[in-house]
Amino acid sequence: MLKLKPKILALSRVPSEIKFASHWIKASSNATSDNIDVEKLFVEKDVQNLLTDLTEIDLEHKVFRPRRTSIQQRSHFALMTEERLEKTRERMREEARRFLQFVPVKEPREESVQILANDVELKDFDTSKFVFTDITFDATDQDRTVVVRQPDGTLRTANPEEHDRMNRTYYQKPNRPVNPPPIFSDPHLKNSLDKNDHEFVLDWACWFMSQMIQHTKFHVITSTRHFGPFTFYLALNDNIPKLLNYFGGLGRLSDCANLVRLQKAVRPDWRVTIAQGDTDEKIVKDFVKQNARFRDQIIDLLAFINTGKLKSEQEQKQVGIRERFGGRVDKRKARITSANVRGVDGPLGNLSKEYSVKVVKSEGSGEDEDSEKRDFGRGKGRWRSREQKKDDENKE
Amino acid sequence: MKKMVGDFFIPAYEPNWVFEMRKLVIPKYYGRPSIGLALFGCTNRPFYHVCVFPDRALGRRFEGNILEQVGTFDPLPNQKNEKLVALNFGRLKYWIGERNAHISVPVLELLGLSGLFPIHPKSFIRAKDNRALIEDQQLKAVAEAAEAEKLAQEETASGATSTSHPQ
Repeated sequence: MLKLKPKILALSRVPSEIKFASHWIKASSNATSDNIDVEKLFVEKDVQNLLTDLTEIDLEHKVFRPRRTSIQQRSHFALMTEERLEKTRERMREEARRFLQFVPVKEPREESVQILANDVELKDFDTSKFVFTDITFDATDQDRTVVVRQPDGTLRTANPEEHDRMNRTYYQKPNRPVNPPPIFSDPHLKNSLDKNDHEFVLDWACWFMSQMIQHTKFHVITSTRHFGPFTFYLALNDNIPKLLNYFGGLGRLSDCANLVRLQKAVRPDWRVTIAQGDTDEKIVKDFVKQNARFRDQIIDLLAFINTGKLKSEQEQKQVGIRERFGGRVDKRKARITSANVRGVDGPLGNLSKEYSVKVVKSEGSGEDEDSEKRDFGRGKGRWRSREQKKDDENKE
Repeated sequence: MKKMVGDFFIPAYEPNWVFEMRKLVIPKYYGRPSIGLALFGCTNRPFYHVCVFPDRALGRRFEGNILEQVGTFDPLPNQKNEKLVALNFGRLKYWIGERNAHISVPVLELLGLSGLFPIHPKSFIRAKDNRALIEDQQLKAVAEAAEAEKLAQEETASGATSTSHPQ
């Protein structure tokens, strides 16, 4: 019998000790960015606070808008008092904050592999590679040993792609496909970006940002969980003017100031100085004054500062949203009250003539509401009579 | 140890002695286990499990006899031209190191390729044969190409002669 090799190689993945320029910082931006630890910087408290402030929470059109999921849900309508409505809104806002938790910013893993053995005698032993995966119980997805024997006889550790694929092959989890979904291959990717489905793509992969800056489609990802990391990326690369312009066009001066503050926090060696007591307006004006070279890119912001006029984009945005939701927006926007819940303005629309609407539970229902119910409610006899019976009992 | 009582010889009792023909044992802890490939999969789709079988004295290998599955081997290359092998090295070390299991040659070859064992001589022989085969094929292809070229040249030459003298 063959004897065991005296030394069993420890093949664990060794993380690189020295970090060179981060992958998130593009070479085209300033050269003074060699020693920035992007992962650490992103989780710093003040940076996180600024990013959360910048991510507006648009409940109706963004966070809780109709979206494609595997679970079917029906919209729910209820009559509420003002107080209760406010409380519900607060609760939904709380939930939205949970939805908008940022996607972490991480450096890509190292691509280099370690060559463990090179047996020239073994050349052409097979036409295909052999991939050996250690399926020992203790091994975790991170420290699992995966080695590859290539047809030319070299034995090497697996690169991250192979390592990942083996993890996914032998330890399957829901929502973790073995092969990358075809949305990342080109015709599909281009199609989905043309359809403004950036968020859908970003949900799959979080390293995907440059397209958006080129076409300035910021409204697509505002108040999603990708907006924070995206803003961070822009600030890291000295590329905020376009986003500033977007905020300026909407008249959100405090967000502009926050963005400038963020840039300062991320890049302390930046020339713009911010004093402690500066107001938002002063910060933005200082930025505009000191960065005259960006004047072409921040036209909307300049217009807002000088004349106080918003960009007429509001209409365009409305058009964009209407395209997306197919005209449903107007109905969603209309406030549903006890008066119009049964009418054409209510949630049923034209169907309200055919169907009777019965309010199951209402708060602060006055007498006139009851009379209304009697007028409109033409439900089935049994239910109708029971309801009337109840009313009679109440009266007695 | 021998005891003489009068003229009779009485053997002393020793626990390792097997007095009966058959004896009940727990296969898991008995004798020398062996590690081998067990063919699973179906028609036209081979797939192997790397399995530990009990001592050979307890009968031939069969599916119900497997003590433990310590890995898999997929002999058909996948889309990316990889043959996938999964091995539970922790358990393999136990069976080989502590239980001195007998290992079949195919498994030895796999373990050699994986770097746990020295490479098995059979792998070297296979590599050598494959290299010789590839060389042969290349030589043959070169010879065929040369022959085809020669034929083509002859044809063009004859064609040229025929076209140069139209009748």
